[in-house]
Amino acid sequence: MATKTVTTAKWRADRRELLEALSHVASIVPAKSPKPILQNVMLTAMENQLQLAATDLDVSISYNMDRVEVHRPGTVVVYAHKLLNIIQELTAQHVDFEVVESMLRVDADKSTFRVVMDDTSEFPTLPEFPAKDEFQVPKDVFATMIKRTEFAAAREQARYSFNGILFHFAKSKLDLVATDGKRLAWARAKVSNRKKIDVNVIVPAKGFSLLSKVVRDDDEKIGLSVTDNQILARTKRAKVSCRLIEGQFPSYEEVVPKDCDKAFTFSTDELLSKLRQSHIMTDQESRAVRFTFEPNLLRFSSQAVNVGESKIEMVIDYGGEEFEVAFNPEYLIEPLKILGEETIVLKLKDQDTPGILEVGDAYVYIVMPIKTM
Amino acid sequence: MGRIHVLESNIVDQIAAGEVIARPASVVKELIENSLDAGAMHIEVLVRDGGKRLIEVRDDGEGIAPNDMPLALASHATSKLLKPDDLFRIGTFGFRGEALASIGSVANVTLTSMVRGAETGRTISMEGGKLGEVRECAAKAGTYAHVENIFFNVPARRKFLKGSSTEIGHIGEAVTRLALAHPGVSFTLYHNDKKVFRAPGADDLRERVGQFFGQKFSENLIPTCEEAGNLRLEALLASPHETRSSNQNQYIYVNNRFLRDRVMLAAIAEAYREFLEPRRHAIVFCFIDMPPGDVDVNVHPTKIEVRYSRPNQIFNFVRGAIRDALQSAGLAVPFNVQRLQKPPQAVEQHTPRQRDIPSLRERMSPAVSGAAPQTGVRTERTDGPPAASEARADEIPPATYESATRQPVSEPEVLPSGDSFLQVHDSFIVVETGGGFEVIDQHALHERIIYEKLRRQHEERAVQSQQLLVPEAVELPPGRAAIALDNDDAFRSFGFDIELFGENTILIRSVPVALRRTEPVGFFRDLLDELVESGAAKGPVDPDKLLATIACKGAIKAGQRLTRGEIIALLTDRVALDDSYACPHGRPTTLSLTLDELKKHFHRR
Repeated sequence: MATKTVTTAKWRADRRELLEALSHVASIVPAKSPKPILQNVMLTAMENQLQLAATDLDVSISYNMDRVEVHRPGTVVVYAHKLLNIIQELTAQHVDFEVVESMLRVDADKSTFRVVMDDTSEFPTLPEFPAKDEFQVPKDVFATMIKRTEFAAAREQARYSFNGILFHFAKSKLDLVATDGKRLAWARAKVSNRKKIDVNVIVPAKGFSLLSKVVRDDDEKIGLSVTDNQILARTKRAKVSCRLIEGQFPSYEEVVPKDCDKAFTFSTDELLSKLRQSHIMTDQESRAVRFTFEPNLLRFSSQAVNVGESKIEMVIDYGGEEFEVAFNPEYLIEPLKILGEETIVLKLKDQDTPGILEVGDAYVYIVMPIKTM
Repeated sequence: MGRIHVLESNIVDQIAAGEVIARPASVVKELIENSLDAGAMHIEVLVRDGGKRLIEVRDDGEGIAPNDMPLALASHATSKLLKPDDLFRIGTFGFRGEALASIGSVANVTLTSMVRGAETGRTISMEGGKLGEVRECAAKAGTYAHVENIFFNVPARRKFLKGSSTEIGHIGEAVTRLALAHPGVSFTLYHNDKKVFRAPGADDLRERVGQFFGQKFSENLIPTCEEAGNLRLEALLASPHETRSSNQNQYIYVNNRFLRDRVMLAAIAEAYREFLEPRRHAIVFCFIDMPPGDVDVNVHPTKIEVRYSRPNQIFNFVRGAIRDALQSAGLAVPFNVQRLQKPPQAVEQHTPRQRDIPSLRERMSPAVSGAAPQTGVRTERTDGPPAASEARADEIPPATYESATRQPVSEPEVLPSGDSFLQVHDSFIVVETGGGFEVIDQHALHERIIYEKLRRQHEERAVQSQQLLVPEAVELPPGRAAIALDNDDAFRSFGFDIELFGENTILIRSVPVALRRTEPVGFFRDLLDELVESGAAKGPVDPDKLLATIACKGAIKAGQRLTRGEIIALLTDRVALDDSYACPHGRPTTLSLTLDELKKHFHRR
């Protein structure tokens, strides 16, 4: 190509730190793409900093590492997963990089790799955001909220809004909500809102998920700004930008059943253990675990045609009428695994009413029952 | 006694009627065509019991002159065809002059009409072919046809009419077809006093399509207009992402006359071929104009099949025009493009240059790192040591493999027998067995598995149904909603809880657990298409047919890459099947080859 940029970049990086940075950045590199340039990572060496960047056009990340000795600045674009493989397999403390004869040479101890480079000019420009409209949310709160919602989003749904996390910030209320149509996770927090921000947007779940992983202990706040079609998040090291998802999100406040009159407090670990046991005797077509509540006894039962059946009991404090309700155990195991709470409240009414998992005011998780027909 | 009789004239009419009037929808079609020919701008159709009891069509057209009233119901009378020569230049609809007479011979027809500007109208009745007197009466400008008790005198035919919901489905479709060809005319259809739809006069085809198929859908259609010589095509084309399982949604018009003929259907299929997955069909609204002399519409009484004088030229023109439109619409790369690339060996032999890189890289599968496949073939040994990358997984921060392992709760991994397997072409699974190997069609096998499990659950009334947080709304073409509702008990027994929401919209409240990962709206549409296409929807749905359709639509598709866990699950379920060797449609799932056969083939014995 006539306009090929010649670079002479040369730098040395700490292997572990580079591995961490590269793992984050490569996690959004698409496995398959009609645009092969997107399977690359762009590395830019500048004054004692190395910036790694990748994008799948929906989510973009740039990540800065500072424990780098830059001998000559420059930019290279290389196949992300090959580079990641190399850094994973190496054992040396430091890795040296240098562009030699249009290939990226990677040296560590006695290993040498020469990696094919791609054309830097074809790599998409990552979105830049005006800093002036930025507002901040506390890192710990926000990362927890993401963790408690992202798993509930759908993976590949025709209804695009189900693939995202709703980010709703108004007055001093921050809500994150995700659903795949069968359950809904809603994390909420009080966050100071001096700039009188009022946003209500749907963010790709993988974008926020990535954000929650790149934050580090020394980040206190996450800076956010929202434009017409993007949301940018900024931590000390990383900038993550996500293209907003257009579409209508279910009115989440309305789907929370108001009339669940039975509330049970469980030890999270115990409930999780019983559900995992019941889950064994389910299959793709018979996913339900039936919860039977009797005085002071809760029985979980499951059965699947070619698998078998299970009955698992636990003692509970219950004096009401006997009743039953069935759920897909996966939809309860998932939140219980990540909540990190010792106890959890499960609210129920009858076999037709959704169940609610609650953590104080901070978290509501709705799960739709399974009926037998 | 002589055995041969001359048929009475009314019997002749009844036989002729049978060709034109097959069912209530044909009556509706013929009457609307008459209205359109009379220049009507508003057409109202009212039916009862799927048209079996009553069909009324009311228009504001120019009306029939008093003197012409008896003629209107006479056989082979038509206002449109005067000389034999005209037969080959047909521009209007009801040229054969059979329609009204035919209807009159198999039903009780009352025709009331008033010419615009006249003070009184005229009415005439015909009962089973017997024409009554013309009487003067009060009327509105336009024509009003009232058809009662269709086939009352042809019991054999009446017996073959389907349930009301099926018949109204056909009527809805007949009106839709005509309405699409006349966007400016307002159409309203009532069934048993309930409005089925109302489409006010629209500015153009796109707006009209929106009225029947949904606004959003119509906005995304790709417009095209081509001319070559005396052929002209104007069309709205759905993007290849919007597909159906049948070609029922291909609306083709030649000289503004709806038809379904092989030349056009083939041209459309061919134009879309590289953009669509196998067995999926495009949705098109396609209007082709050609000199009337080039097309013979007089082949079939309902005029749905035609004959062209230059079929090849027409085929090439239509295919070319549609394909050009799709290609220039900037659609995503056809999905099978990777398969068309050069084999890997050819690339690896020469030194890497910049422009080779993309194709080289596409074959390195990042998800499985070092063990990346070089072709479309993927091998895994269930008993082998874990791949190097898996062993080191703990060293990598979790973010790395997050995208590759985003599965909900991991399935228990059971290794069935220690046999090794591989998936080829993302469609077949090859399994090594004690005496040779087997090739399994992943779709057919999975279909069989779902079918068997659901059947047993159904027998035991234990079908599990996942309720949805927010009901999914499915917009359906006119008539389909009724078919769905008529069978709601059957759907419910398989885990679909549905209810009517508005005129042509169904709400899905719950879905079978077996299909919880399938997108419900598209699935349900396909399901109905399939049932209509296969004729199963005429009358109550056969539960077994419904079950087979659910299994087919819910099963893994060919071309879908499976994870190791998914393959193991399939193979485990297969062992438990009584008869895993054929899918519910009877197609085989498995091909076996023994070692002996292999040896024989290679002349080793």
